[in-house]
Amino acid sequence: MMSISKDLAAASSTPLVLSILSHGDSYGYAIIQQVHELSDGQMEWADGMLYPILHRLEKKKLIESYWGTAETGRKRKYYRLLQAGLKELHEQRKNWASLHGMLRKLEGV
Amino acid sequence: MFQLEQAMDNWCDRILVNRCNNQVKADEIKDHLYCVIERLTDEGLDEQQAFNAATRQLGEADDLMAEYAKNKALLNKVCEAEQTFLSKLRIKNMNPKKAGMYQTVVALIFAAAILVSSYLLKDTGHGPTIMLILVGLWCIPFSIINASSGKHSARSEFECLRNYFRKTQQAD
Repeated sequence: MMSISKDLAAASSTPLVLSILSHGDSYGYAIIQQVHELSDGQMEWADGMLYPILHRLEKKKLIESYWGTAETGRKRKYYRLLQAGLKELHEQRKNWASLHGMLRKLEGV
Repeated sequence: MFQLEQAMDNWCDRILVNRCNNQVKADEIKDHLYCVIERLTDEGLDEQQAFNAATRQLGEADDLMAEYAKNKALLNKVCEAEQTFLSKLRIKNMNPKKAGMYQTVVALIFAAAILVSSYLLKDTGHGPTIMLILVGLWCIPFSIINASSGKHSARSEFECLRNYFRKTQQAD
């Protein structure tokens, strides 16, 4: 099965996380599950790598976190997209689209 | 008999390196591990197998530690350096009585040094400067002994000060 390399997975992690959070607040495990489903298992993304990424995005004030309670009664940390995060997401989408456009043009050469 | 909670705590302690990392990160990772374990036990694995698989899925321990290290604030780095320094000196977990004795000896040495220097430098005008330097230097053995007896670390000292200033600001 074709798989997405570690480097590409790392590079795409920010737009993916921001994009998922643009659909509503979420938490680590759910974000990982969503990425697995979206990539049909092609994304080589160790589960644990997401958390430092989330913490970095929070530090950059692109997202914010708050504690809630899971249905099991456990403490759970949720993440929410901030205005600056939405702006960054638009920017990243533009960059990825332009990269995609470049590759498409080269296909025709 | 496999103890899931114990295994979870041990694993988090190992990955999140030392007590400088606060409980918050451990709580988040634990919630993740429990989510995976619940899914895997529903699929028929026993708790130990599920725990092993869940931690394996999180990734290589070295990679994880490196990722967490990227996010460390300066304060955590200072705290970690302090812990490493203490363990190199092998004076971690000193008993409070012994620590108290060391503090007294160090205090006496510095007090004597301050007195002698101010006497020797009384005509030069450098006395107050040297005294301030000596008081500053005194903080080093003071905080090392304090941290080694488990009372405070650089982080807790800093947080204590920060809370104090926050309270003062609120009072204003």
